[in-house]
Amino acid sequence: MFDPMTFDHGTFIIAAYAAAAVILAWCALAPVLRARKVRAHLQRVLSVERSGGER
Amino acid sequence: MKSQNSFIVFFHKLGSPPHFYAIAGRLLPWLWGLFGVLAVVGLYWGLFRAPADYLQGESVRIMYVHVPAAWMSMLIYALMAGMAFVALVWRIRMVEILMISSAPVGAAFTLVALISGALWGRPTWGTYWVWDARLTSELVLLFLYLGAMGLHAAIDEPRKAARAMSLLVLVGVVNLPIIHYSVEWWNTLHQPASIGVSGSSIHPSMLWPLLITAIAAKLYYLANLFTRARLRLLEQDRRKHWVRKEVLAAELAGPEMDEPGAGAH
Amino acid sequence: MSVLSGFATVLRRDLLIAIRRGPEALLPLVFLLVVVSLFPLGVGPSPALLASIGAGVIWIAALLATVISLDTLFRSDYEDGSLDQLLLSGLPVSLVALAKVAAHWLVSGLPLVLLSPLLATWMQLPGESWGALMASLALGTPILSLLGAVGAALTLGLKRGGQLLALLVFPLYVPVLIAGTGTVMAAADGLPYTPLLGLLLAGFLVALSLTPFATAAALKISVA
Repeated sequence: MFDPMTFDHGTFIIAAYAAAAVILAWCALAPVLRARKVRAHLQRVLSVERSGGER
Repeated sequence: MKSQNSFIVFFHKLGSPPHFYAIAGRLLPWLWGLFGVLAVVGLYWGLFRAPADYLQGESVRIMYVHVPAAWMSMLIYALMAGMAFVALVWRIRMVEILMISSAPVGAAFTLVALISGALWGRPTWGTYWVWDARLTSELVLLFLYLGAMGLHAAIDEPRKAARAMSLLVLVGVVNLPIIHYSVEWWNTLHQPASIGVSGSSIHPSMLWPLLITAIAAKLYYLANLFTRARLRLLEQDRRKHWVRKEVLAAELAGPEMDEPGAGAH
Repeated sequence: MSVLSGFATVLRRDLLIAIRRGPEALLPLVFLLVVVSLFPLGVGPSPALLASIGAGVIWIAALLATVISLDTLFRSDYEDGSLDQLLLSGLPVSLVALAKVAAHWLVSGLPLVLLSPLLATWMQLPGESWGALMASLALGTPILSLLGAVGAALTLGLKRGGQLLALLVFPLYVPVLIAGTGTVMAAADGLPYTPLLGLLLAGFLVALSLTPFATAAALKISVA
């Protein structure tokens, strides 16, 4: 197994910033994407209702 | 007297879902925009302009990610505890929703703090992990977040789930300092190496980028919280009139009426 | 339905169910993390002490997490009647059992193997033993799933089935535990560890070929 002690500080810095970026980006995007899905679904449901309720 | 009145009215409005939805939606672009600016400025400053530490070397730059994340992990849990108390005593639904929406953000920050802390520890003090009071408490905090989220997800009825989660969060907030001090006591018996940013004052050239990223983290929390709270309102109130009006208005205004995407760096 | 496509169908179905259950499927893993992190708090944070018990702690936590997740292997299908359907479907019951065990391992065993470097860090295990740890868990956790399925099938529908299950399978798990921890400790001491790993491989092959039939027999007993 590779010995992480031979990495220089730069690798650790990049790894830390990258991990933070990935986690926080996912945390920010997940509700946005889900909200889009929910809204699209609601629009479909509402248009069905307006057109008389027949699918 | 009048300005005092409208302040109270504003808070009352926030407690009503349709008003919160609208107000939060208007604030979101500003929050994300400001977050983006401060995050870029703060991280660039910390990464490239601030000096390396005399003792630690370059790895101290991880501080600009790790410290705000750790602060937020604890701040958010404290806020959740406050919301939990209000939710249990006054049963305000909007507070319940804000509490639940805060949990994933807090958990994410805790995870970032743990990972960045481990990556900071290895080149600086020689080990990824040590069971001292600070790191152990942070890990326990992650478990507390996960437990609260798990409990809420396991209960179907939303108000009941919120009440159960509120109770758990309050128990946790009382426990957290106890855990911290008991691990500290345990450690004084066994005297392992102690890791962490020492109590010595930080040089101003490092303090400024740290403060900027700390404020950016708070803005991220607010923006993410509002996004998640709005989503939860949409889902829970989907049969209500105000949601239908909102969805129809969005449809008429154009297909992409979403809040701007994440300003994450 | 051919044997292979039948296997694939059951496997896919179980994986989909696990994914749809979402966060609930992660509970055994979080349990694993919590249990392992309790040990340093209980025995003290001294790195030397933790490293000496680390292999055992991680392996025991793996056993506990497997037993916890085994309970769900057949239970929900048994309760809503889909297990009856699967048994009546004409597919060989041993195949159904094997497919379910495979799904179970993918959801609870494989993540454990992938998380093991994190656990090794917590227990201050030396870097040389990480490979052995992952390999021993990669071979050992399928054995745990395969053996455990027999116990899960036997205790299906029983009161206190979960606790009884633990009692039944832990004696069966002892050889796996010994081989697993032995592998890791040999690696930590710089000794060759492939003999013990080979033993685990042999155990896996034997379990793979024999336990599905035992599980099938147990299922037929429990469901009848």
